[in-house]
Amino acid sequence: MIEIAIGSLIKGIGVLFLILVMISLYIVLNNAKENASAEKIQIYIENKQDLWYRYLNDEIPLSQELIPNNDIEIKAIEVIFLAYIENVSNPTVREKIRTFSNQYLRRYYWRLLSSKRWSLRMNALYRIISLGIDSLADECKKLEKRTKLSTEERFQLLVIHSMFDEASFVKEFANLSIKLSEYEYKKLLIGFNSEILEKLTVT
Amino acid sequence: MINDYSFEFEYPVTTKEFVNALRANVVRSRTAITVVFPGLYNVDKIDITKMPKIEEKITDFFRNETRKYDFVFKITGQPKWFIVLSQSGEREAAAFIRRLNMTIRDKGIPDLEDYELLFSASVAEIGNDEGTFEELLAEGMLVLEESLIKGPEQIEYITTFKKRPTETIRVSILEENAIFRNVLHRTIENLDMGHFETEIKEFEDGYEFLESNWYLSSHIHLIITNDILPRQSGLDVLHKVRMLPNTRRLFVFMMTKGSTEEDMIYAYESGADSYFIKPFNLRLLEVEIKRTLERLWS
Repeated sequence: MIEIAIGSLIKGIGVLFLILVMISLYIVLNNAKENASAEKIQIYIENKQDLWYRYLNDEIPLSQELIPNNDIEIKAIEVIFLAYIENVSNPTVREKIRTFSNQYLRRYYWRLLSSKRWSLRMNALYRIISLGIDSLADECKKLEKRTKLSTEERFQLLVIHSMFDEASFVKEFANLSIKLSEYEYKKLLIGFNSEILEKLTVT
Repeated sequence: MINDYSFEFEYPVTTKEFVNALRANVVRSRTAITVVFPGLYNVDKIDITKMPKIEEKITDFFRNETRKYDFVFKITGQPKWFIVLSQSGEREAAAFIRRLNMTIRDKGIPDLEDYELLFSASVAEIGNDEGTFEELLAEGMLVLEESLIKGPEQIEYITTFKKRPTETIRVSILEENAIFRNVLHRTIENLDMGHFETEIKEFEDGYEFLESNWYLSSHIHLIITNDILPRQSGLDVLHKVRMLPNTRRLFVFMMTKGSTEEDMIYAYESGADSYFIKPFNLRLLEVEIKRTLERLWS
């Protein structure tokens, strides 16, 4: 029989309990932090959505008030922009979102692209696509060269490549190193004009 | 001044009563009527003794040239007429006068081919039931005089009675995304809808909308709804409102992100008035709303 001294057992339980308390505390604090961020984002949206409407619909010029000062504001702007992109196709609105994102959100997404966390990099890739941040095309190409990339990241990079550099994408498409599903092919090719599609077929 | 226009009823209906009844119906039916006051321009070239006979022939000619639901009245003692074009705006009235003048020039008025008869006119579109019959008549005659002074085949317009009454319409926006809901609200709020005033309300889903009594009023009601909504869908709303009496006052614009053509056909068959595939241009929604409201008045 294994004999364990009661003192050691109590110490062990104490350490485990301490770890449990610390984990719980971490979770609680983290949740509180996330809730506070979500609330701040919501407040920003409620306060600024009318101003954004007026700017995006050409009623007013870009005001200093709309330029983000911190990550919370960037996240709130991201929510607003995505709501527009998913629902509104007005060329003026789209172009304003693209221009603004390239100018004021570029650094934020560049920072996420350099992150070690996969989820942050994926988020950055999704947003670069949605918001049309072509000024990060070169950064994305650099990322492509990294060896430790997931298939999902490689696919999103391929989408970015197809969006911002159609000509070289045609060449790359012929020598694809990743396997794509039918859905991914569809997603990739759906935005191309007939000329590019013809080139791809010939390739 | 005006001949009584008596129907063969027990109680005679005067021109005034008749025209007032037509005008009252303008607002209820949202259908404009236009009153044309034609007058003979070159009256001095006609033998005064032959005038009553000529006027009679002209009246017959006008009656033959108008539709069954238009009405021609002769102003007593003057070579002037009063024609009520029901279901016509001033544009149709102007086209009617041009057509009359062309027919007179090309073929002449039956039995009066030897006379060179030229007309000018004043035109009053009626879009409300304000003002009196006497005011309409007085202004019509006054402006007809101005038209006759200007020369033959002139048309002068009277705008006094044209203004349509301000009408309140309700707009419901059913969309889950609060930001886009606000975008739609602002877009509609900013829209110039002429004589229509809007009362706009936002709803998160079909359940919230159907639970409210907001849509049960007698107002013209535009419902802009997403097809997929959390608790009750846009299609549920569509089915429910199309079961209501007087459903023609309700206009349902559906929005969708990924519906198939079959879904859209089903929605149209179920009574949707329009279908927008997201993302869509807000201008498209604006013109669709404007056209819908314009069509309310004919």
